[in-house]
Order: sequence, then C-alpha cells, then structure tokens
Amino acid sequence: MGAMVLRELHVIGRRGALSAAICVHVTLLAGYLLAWGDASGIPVASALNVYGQTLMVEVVLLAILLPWTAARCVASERGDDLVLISVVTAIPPSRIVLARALAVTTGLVMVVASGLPTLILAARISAVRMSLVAEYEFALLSLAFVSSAAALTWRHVCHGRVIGWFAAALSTAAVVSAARMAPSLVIAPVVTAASLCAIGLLALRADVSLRYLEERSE
Amino acid sequence: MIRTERLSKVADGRAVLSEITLAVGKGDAVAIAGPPGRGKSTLLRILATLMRPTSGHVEIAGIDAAVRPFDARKRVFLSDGVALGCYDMTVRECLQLIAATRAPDRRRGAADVARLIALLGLDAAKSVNMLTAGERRLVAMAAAIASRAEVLLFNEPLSGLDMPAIECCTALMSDARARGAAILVTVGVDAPPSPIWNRQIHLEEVGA
Repeated sequence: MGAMVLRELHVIGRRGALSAAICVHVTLLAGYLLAWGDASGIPVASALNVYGQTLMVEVVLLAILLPWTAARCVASERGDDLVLISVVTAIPPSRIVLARALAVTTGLVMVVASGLPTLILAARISAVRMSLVAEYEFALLSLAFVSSAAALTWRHVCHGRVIGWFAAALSTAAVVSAARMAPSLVIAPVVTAASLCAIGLLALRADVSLRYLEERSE
Repeated sequence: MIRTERLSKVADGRAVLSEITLAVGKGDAVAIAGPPGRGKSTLLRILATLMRPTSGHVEIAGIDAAVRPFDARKRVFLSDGVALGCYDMTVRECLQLIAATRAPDRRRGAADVARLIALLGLDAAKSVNMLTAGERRLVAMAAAIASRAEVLLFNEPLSGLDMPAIECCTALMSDARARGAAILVTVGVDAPPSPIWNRQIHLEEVGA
C-alpha cells in the first residue's frame, strides 16, 4: 500500500492545484494581516481582535480552497478505472481508496498548515495565548479531513465531475459553518472522527462495488 | 495454474462464452484462436478477475477466483493494451508501480523495469494517456513481465507490432514460460504458429 500512497502523492504533487491553493491561501491571509493588522483590525468587525478576524478570514478561505483543492488534486480514476488499477497492482479497491484518502488529506493538511505562521503573527499582535492558537489550528486541521472525505465520497457517488465538486464544496461549507457555531475543541474531534468513518465506509463499499467491471454489452 | 469448468458468460441477454472447460499447467502456454466477437477478451477478463462469470468455476493457481478474487489477482496478470489502467502516470511510473506492488523482490523489480524500458524502446517519460495502441501493447507486455505473476494472460499481444517488436515480445514471453509461468494468449483466427505456445485451441473447440 506504501507504493500506492506514494503514487497518489506523486499525482497530487504534479497537479498545480496544491501549490496554487497554498500560494493563494498564504498571500490572501498575509495580505489581510498587512492591510488591517494594526491593533483594531477591520472597524466593522471591531468586536473581534485581529487574531479573531484573521481566523475568520482563514475559515472562509479554507471553506473555498479545501474542496477545490481536493477536487482538483485527487487522481482522476473512478469506477471501472479503479477496478483496472486494482487488477493491475493486485491491491484491493479498499486500500486504493484509503491510500488516496491519506494522500489527499496530507495535501490538504499542508494547505491548512501554510496559514499557521500568519495566525501566530496575528496572535502575537492580539496577545492571544499560544495554547488557544494550537486549539484553533487543531480545529482547522479537522477541515482537511472533512474536505478529503467529502471530495472522495462525492467523487465515488456522483457521475459528473462538476456535480461532485459542487456537492463536496457545499457539504464542506455546511460543516465549516456548523463548526463555527460551537467550541472548536468539541466539534473538531467529532468532525474528524465522522470523516474517518466516512472514508472507512467508502473503502468497505469499494471492495464490493468496485470488485468487477461494470456490466455492459460486449 | 488455470482451470475453468463449464465457464459461461451472458451479457445483455447474449451468450458470450458457453461452457468453456480449460486447463493450463505451470510452464504451459496455450493460444486461444478465434474470429473477433467470440469472447476471447471476455475469457481473459474473467480469468483476470475483471469480470464475473455468469456460471461455471474458475481457479487461478489453486484459488477459486469467484470466492477470493483479490487473492487470485496476486497470482495473475492480464496484459491488455486496452485495459492497462495507469492514468495520470508516465510509462516509467506505471511500470514501477506494478513492479513495486507485485514483484516479490523490490530491487529486482526496479531493475526489471529499467531493462524492459530499454529492451522495448519505450518512451519512459511519456504519459500513459498519450500512448498509441501499439505503444500501449508494448507497455502492457513490459508490465506483465515486470509483474512476475505466475499466470500471464496476453490479449493479442503481437498484433499491429513491427517485426523487431514482435521478436522482442516473443523472446520475453518465452523467457516467462521458461521460468514456469502459465501463459494464455489470444490470437486472431489466421495467426501463424509461434514458438511461444505449445497448444493452440479454437474457441469453438474449447468446451468440446
């Protein structure tokens, strides 16, 4: 399975989406801090300190970037193509799905982590303690799991690529919104566990639904 | 190594294969000849566990392929330019992945890949998606050899190739047979005799 994970990472690395997402994320977040990083932040959101505002921008950015990156990065095989890969490599479809999930999640974690230096800077400006920054970063990392699970699930369920991306984007946005309504340390483990369960179910289903080529006329 | 009993396949209400009984032993090479549309490719796909038979029994290296398809897959490799998979990969990456996941000795697998690329004159950096039909056949041949599977299935491996490529592929298949692999090759109805196989069966005669 290690070879399969490496292959999936290779595919992700070769696509420009991951590096583009990291660049956009870092640039916009750092740009926000540069523009409004004085003590007060944006006047209309003055109830929050600079760190709180930066975190909110980060969440909005990730809600857009993560599903897009997941949809663009993941290898293009689906359905019969996955059956072929399984036969050629002699790896069961469930392990291919798990390898893919691991690789995509790793890529998305990199996107989330790329915003950490800016968040630390904002926390310093607002004199927020680092343990709180770590807590929110953990919550943000859970979004990588959600996006990965949503993108893979919808890719396997939907036949159209665009529909799959929209469904993944909407479900991720819904989870992001829900996560903002409750304390992050409570929601993040639940969201991460639910995402892992979804990936596990998807893998189990793959061993049944992707066992053979789809029946069609010869 | 390959054993089928009364193997049948019905697709879209049409019988594609009917009551095929076949046995191929270790180091044995059998050619399945027949005109297009007789179900030669379907037979190979069922043996490779890509398709489910409608009825009958399939055994690959002693494993019931219908009951344990994922175990059977480890012992069999289908060399088919059409069913190569490996999208989003270059030729080298595709062969390296197959060698890494299938070959028992990883270092030897990597050496095999380098040797096969040079021997077959493959463009290692070319994307699999961009290969011509002939190039796909050669990559599928290299993949089969690199897999070191005990059972090798070749779907019309020599058709459309030039003479040097045919000689090269013939030598590779003969080597595989010499190391004990069971080989099943599909060929056209007018295929000339070849040193690769020791038996040739017309598909109509297989169930007889």
